[in-house]
Formats: sequence, structure tokens, C-alpha cells
Amino acid sequence: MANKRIELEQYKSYMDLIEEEPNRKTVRKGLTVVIVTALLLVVFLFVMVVFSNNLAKNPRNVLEKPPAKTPSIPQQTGGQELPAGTQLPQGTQLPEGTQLPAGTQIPGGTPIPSSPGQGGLPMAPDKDAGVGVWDSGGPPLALKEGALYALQTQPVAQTPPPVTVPTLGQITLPVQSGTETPAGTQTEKPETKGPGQETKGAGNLSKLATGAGGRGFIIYVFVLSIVLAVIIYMALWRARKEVIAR
Amino acid sequence: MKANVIVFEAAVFILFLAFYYGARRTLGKRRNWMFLLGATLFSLAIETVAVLAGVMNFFWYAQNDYYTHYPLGGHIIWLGLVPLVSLLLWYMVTATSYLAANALVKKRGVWVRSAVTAAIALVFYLVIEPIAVTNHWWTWNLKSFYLIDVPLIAWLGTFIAVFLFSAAYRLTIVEKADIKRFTAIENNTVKRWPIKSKKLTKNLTWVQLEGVFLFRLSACFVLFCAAMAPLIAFLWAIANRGQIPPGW
Repeated sequence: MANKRIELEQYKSYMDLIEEEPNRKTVRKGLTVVIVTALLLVVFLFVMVVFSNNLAKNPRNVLEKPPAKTPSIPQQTGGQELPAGTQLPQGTQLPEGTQLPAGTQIPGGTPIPSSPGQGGLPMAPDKDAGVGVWDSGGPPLALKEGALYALQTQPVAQTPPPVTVPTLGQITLPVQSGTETPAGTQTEKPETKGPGQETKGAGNLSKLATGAGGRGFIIYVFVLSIVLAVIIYMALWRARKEVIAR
Repeated sequence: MKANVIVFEAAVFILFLAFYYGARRTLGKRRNWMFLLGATLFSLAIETVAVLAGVMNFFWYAQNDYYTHYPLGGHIIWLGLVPLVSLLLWYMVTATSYLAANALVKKRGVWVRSAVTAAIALVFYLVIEPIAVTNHWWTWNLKSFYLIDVPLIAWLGTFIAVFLFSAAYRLTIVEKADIKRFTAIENNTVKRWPIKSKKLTKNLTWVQLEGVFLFRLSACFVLFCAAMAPLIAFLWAIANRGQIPPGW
């Protein structure tokens, strides 16, 4: 007993026994907190799988780069050509450099500016004018009824020459073709030798995710989560059983 | 709601607070602190080397337009090249596995306990890794053999790292044992300076014991690298996915 006391005294000088050797009740409570937290972590991971199941189905997702910075629209659309036969919706504003090919129908209210070197004034038909007047450079004309009828005989821009227009800010045209790819988004050249950058065979996560009716990934994680939960619960059960036995 | 890096980070930080409270009661105040410090430093060393060697990276959310949506590269706190959340997750997984293994195989020796600890941690990472690569919490770049888009070395590495860490912790902090093969090395290195005491490990003060533990962890790190190098070389040869440059 005396030896034990000396040993404990020596041990005490090295560390605080109450802090470092907590009693069994404290240990058991702490273990319960740890295990409940670990189970919450497992549940959190399972929820994350449910959210990311669709992502996992895409075989390119894992190797995908983050989306490139969205370029500002005026820079992207400048100088492009619209496909022939494009119908412009009401109120469309055309940016600088847009070329209108033959067959393009321009509804009323579409501001069609002149080319950059020609002053850049808006060219909407004047509602007050009695005739359809299109000007390519001069100031807008407000023609009153009966004035300058000679202009009426001039062809109205059915097949206008290519119009280059100044920047007007917003555009609502869906631009599909001819859009420049932003810098940095070029796809890597595939390797001529070796496995390539896409995972081959069973290594591909999308195969797992699309398996079992599109729930393969969820089932995989679910099974492992159950295994983890059982292991962790068994540890807690054993610890409790030991305390009771003592 | 998306499983993006901010959700992941917030959840791990919250769970960590509860976990630390519980582990402190179970292991003891200073023992738990040493477990946290050791686990953080050990995993930080491994993951920093992995990032520098182009094996993996944590920068997906820091690229292109995402940098404006996810300031600080998506992760809130970085320790060099590695986000803190990854290290805390490693601590939580390792500590849970360690405590579970201690309860499950209480009468076995340190090596069996460490193996069980590593096996439980491996099951954890079998769940975590596919979710992480799907949501780009981290990205694997290495040319290697992949299983569900996670390199085999990630799982082998987890097993070996947890095994070594658990054994070092158990032998040093809990059992205060001397390892015969390392006694001469320890006497000539860490026990000469800064500990300046050639007593047996069980007779060292707590602060000295912490020094020995950190020294043994660094030895474990060297062992880990030595074990992983041939595995990486072998899996490189039978790769089913090529190298992806870390910065694309």
C-alpha cells in the first residue's frame, strides 16, 4: 500500500490524475458524446451523397474544371454575324459590329445604330413621320405628313447593306454560333499513350452512380454507413457493458 | 442546398467542437490535446507533401470564376497548402477509430489495436473520399490505379498513416513504452536535445513525453513515405487514369 502511494505520488508530479485519468463515469459519458458525434458525421455524409448523386452520374464531373469566368456580353458579341433568316424580337438592341444578313426581319422599335465610323445615332423609324424613313448617318428626321414625299420612293431597308452598329449595352439575342471560347477553357489534348485522363473501367465513379437504377452510389454509401454505425455502436455497447460488470 | 465546400466546412467545424468536448472527457485533457496536435501535424505533413508532389490538391474552388463566389479558395482557414478542415476531419476519424478499437479489442496488443483502428478509419474514408471527389472538396491528380475515381494509394495511405499514428500514440502517450530498436536513436537525438534526459520513457515528465511523441511521429512520417513510394511506383505502372496537372 505504501509502495502504491509512493508510486501515485510520483505519478502525480508528472500529470494531473483527475484530468488525465478521469473516472469511468466521465469516460463513458465522453465516449457517448464522441460516438454520437461520429454518427452525426456519418449521417451528414449520407445526406451529402443524396445531394451529390446527380453530380456523380456525370463521368466528366470529377475531372471537370470549375466554370470559367463569365465574360461580359458586349465583348463577347462584338463583330459577330447573325445567321441568315434570324428574326429579331421586339425591342432587340444590336451591339456594335453586328452584321445583318439578307432575310433578317427587323420589327418596329428595334434601334439599329449606324456603323462606328458614322456617328452612332439611333435609327428607329420616327412614328411621327408619315413615311418610312431610314437614315444611315444623319440626325433623325421628324417628317410631317406631306413633307419630302420623294423619300417614299426610295427602297426601305429590306436587304440593307451590312450594318455595323455601336455598342448599346444590353442585348437579348441568344448567341450560339460563333461565340468565342474564353481563354483557359481549351480542353487538354488527350494523351496518345497511356491511360488518358479519364478513369477507365471499374474505377469510374459514374458507373457506380448510374448502377442499380441510378442509386448505386447511394446504396454503396448507405451500406458502408450501416457498417460504421454498427461498429461504433458495438464499441459503445462494450464500454457500457464493462462499466456495468465492474 | 448543394454539397459544396462551404457546407462541408461548416458541418465539420460544428461537429469538431462537440467531438473535442467528448474526446477530452474520454482521453483526458492533455492526452486529447496531444492527440489533436499530433494528428493535425502528422496529416498536415502528409497532405502538404502530397500537394507539393502533385498527388492531390484543394484548389478547385479557388479557380476561375469560383474565386469570386468562394473567397479564400472555398476553404476558410488554410495551414499552408492544406485547409484546416481536412486535418480536423482526419483527427475526428482517427480518434473515433482509436476509441472504438480500444473498446472492441481491449485485451489485444498495440499492433492489433492499431490495425483495427486503421481498418475502421479506412471504412470512414471509403465513405468520405467518393463524396469529396464528387464535390471537389479535394482533387486527385496522380497517374495511378483508381477505384470509383479515388486512387488506391489514398486508401492504402489512410490505412498505413492511421496505423502508424495510432501505434505511436499508444506506445508513447498511453503505455509510455520504450521501443528497443529506436532506443539508441532516441538517446542520441531527441533525448540528448531538447529533452536532455536519458531516463526511460515512463520516467519522463509530461512535457518530455510530448517531445518524444512528436519525435516518434516524425519517424512515422519517414516510415510512411518509405512505404508509400514503392506503392505509388507500382500503381503508376498499372494506372487506369493518367496524370492531371494540378493547375489543369
